[in-house]
Amino acid sequence: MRSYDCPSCGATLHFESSIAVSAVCAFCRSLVVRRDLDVETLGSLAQLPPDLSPLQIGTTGTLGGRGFRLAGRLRWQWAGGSWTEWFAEFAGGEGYGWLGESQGFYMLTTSTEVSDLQAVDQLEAGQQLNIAGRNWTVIDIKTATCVGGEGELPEAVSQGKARLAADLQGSGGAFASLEAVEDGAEFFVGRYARFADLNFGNLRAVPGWSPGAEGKRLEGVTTSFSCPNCAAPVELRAAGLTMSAVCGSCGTIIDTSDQRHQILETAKLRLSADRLDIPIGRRGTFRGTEYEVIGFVRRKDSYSTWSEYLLFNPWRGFDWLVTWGGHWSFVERMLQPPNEQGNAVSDGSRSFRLFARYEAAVSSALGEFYWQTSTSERTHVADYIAPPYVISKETYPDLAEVTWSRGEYVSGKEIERSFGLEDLQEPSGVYLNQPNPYRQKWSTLRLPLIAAIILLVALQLFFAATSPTREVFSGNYLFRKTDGERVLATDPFDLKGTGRVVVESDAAVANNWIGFDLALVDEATGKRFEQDIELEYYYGRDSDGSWSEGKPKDVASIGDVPPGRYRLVITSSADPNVTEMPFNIRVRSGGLFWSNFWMTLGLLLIFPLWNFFRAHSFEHERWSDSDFSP
Amino acid sequence: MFRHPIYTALCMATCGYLLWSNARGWTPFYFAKQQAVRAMGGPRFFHK
Repeated sequence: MRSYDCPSCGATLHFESSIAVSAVCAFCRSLVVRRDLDVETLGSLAQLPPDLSPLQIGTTGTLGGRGFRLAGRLRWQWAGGSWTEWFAEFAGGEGYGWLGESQGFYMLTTSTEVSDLQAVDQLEAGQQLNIAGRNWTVIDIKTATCVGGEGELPEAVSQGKARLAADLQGSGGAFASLEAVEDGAEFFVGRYARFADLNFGNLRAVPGWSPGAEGKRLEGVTTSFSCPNCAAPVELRAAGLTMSAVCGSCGTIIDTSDQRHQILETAKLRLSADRLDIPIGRRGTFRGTEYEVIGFVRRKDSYSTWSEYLLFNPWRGFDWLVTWGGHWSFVERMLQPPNEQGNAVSDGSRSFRLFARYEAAVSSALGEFYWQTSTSERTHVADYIAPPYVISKETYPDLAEVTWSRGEYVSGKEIERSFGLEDLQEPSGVYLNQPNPYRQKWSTLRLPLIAAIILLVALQLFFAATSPTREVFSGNYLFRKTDGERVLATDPFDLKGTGRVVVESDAAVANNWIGFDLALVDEATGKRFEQDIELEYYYGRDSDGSWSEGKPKDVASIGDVPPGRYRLVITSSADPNVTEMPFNIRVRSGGLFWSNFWMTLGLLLIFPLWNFFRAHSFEHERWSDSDFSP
Repeated sequence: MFRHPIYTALCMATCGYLLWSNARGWTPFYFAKQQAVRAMGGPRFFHK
């Protein structure tokens, strides 16, 4: 570590980094540049406003096994927001990189020499590039201005310096930046990371969030100022990280990127706080992360209006809760863009189908935001769905920026539990990423249904194989009209075991009929089992040719007949024109009633079939709101 | 499987029913017909 006296104020400046060529004097804000043994001042850098970043000079971290220490930082601001770039010196003197910190996610990049780079000012958002053999998508092009800095820096950056840069997104979480320089462009390449990926150490306590001395979280810390339009107090809950706030009293949009708090738009977004489902400032633990609701936006398109709640956690960054008609989705920024294939996108694990394209506008807002919100803000949105997920592509034509976010459907009950709410609106209609409850039900019905069908078939096949029919009686008889209504009883026969009995009959019917009322009578108990058979057969010839109907033989089954000695009592009657007719009777025992099998199968399928039609109807209702219905 | 206890119970009941009805040679259709015959007062069905 080398120390110098600040040329401006004489305070001692320490250069802990061997790479740093400049440092900001903590006392007089001078930017001091060292040249060999000497130092000189190159203007000054403004002090950064206090913010809720958990990072500080001296914070250490690792990414991909590469350790680093944060030695200084610069704050860059553009028309719609700002971000911080930390000078990250790699361990072991292996050079340095920049750790970008924006909206709660991070980009660690290092400068890489690549020849024949495209001019940054000729790029467009959404454009595909191939740089050094890798494919990139341009997601953002902006000119930013340095608005302050602190600590040591690897270059001398003056206050107000402007730079034009394009952010690029690659596969696998890759991130790169093309920065315009005097003789072309400089290429920085690295990757996106979440807070948890960077294994940070030596973090600073975040006011209002980090546990206090007693191990308890402090109450939310807010920064207040007076609305420049109506003088009502305006509170900031993520000061230093948000770029605009909407006055709760008059609806004026106020620039919060610096301490001047200038008016961006006057009294256009007025909204009563009591119309919010979740109050601004409410904290809750949602899926393991403690969030504070810091902003609310009501957006609209040509057809509907929906609400978005901006959630903040210093270590997690910004996420969203989006609600419409009592339906809720938790939405987070995607650090890796999905693959686009026509009207579908894929995030690697599932395919999402295009559901809607529309232009969204802000209709009202409250709280604070990490961008400079505006009533003229227009966003081109494409929603792709794979319930319960939705992926949204948001294109900001005015800002040359494309962002991807992924939402997951959340029940209102979970929102109530997480944020201590009561009586949220019950969901109405079908929402674009609402899980189909009938499809979910089918996934749990499938196993018992298949198991039951397999068991039913196995049982039926087993009984069919082990229950053959066998003849227990047969006889030939003659019907005579002169006998009137003839009643006869067969010789006795034995039935072994309780089961089914089949009576078969055939007769020489020809353009007439004969009928038998049958009674199977147990000789021992007198118990009767009744059935009837009617044989008829008609035939002839007409203008269409020959015809026939009926049949000269038939069977009748009797069920649940106990074992014993039986006779079959036959009462016969016939067509008045019949004077005599021979007929045969055979009795068989055993076999199966297949009606039982088909009936049980049908019974099992009623609920799944009803569920199938409900699932289909649910999807029909979902896609009826889409212009891209399959 | 047991996330739908009623449906699972129905599946088990139908398998049990098939086992029982096949073993006894019982069918509700014959049972119903016999009841109807008795309700009409005798074994006679209506012939032409």
